[in-house]
Amino acid sequence: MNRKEFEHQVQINQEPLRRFLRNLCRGDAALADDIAQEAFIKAFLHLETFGGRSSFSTWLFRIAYNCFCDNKKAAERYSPVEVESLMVIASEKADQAFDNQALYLALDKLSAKERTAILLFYMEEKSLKEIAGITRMPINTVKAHLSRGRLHVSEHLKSIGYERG
Amino acid sequence: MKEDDVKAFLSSHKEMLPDDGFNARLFNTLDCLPQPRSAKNRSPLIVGVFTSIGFLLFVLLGGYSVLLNGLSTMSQIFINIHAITPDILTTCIMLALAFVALIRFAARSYHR
Repeated sequence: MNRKEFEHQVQINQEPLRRFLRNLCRGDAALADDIAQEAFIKAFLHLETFGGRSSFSTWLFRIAYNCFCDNKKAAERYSPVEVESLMVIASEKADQAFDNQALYLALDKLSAKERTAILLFYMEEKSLKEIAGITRMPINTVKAHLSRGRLHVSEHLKSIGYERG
Repeated sequence: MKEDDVKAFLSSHKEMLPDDGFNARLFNTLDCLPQPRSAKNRSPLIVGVFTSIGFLLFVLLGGYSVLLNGLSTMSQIFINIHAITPDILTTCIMLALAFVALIRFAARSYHR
């Protein structure tokens, strides 16, 4: 894959990837875009390792998900100062995040793996096989996380009296 | 019902994100990075080396005479074709299928 083909792939995949990361980061657009940019740069620098065994999109989502996990671990490691500064950033973005507050509240009821599976399956319309490829989990484990995540979201929706419009 | 609710809820909160200069920033950053190396296809080298080794072994171990003997034995089968038993026939078919599978695998690996 050359630079031109890569740019084409960026144009196709940037929106779903940024949306996925933004939802994982609970609406922190700046952090999500930073992780997305890091993922695209890593993908570009390691283009020769893309063997074509999965789709480019799946490969890209896997890199982005790994970047997100690394970022989360680093944030937890440097916790007191970093978390406080992140909270300030998050509060600055509160207005932007308000529209999707209901979504983030529902996602907060899920574990990290359930959240990832639910977002990829329902929001980004990835298949079970693709989710397994992105998260490096067996398909049955993905199914279990999806099932539990669905149950938790459903319970939350029931508790807030959500009705399909 | 439960799944429909979850699906409807998540679909209604699916954001369409504007570009906001993301692509331009990314492409500017990529301009400053070294261009990616294209993956080297080492298949011709590996095929060449192993073919040479195979040919050398063939010559050194007297493969030519063995091949001639084998061909003459095979020709006996065709001369006495009426004497072919079902197990010989099955063996020949399985051998042919194995060769086909091997060639297909080699072709796919080469094109990948």
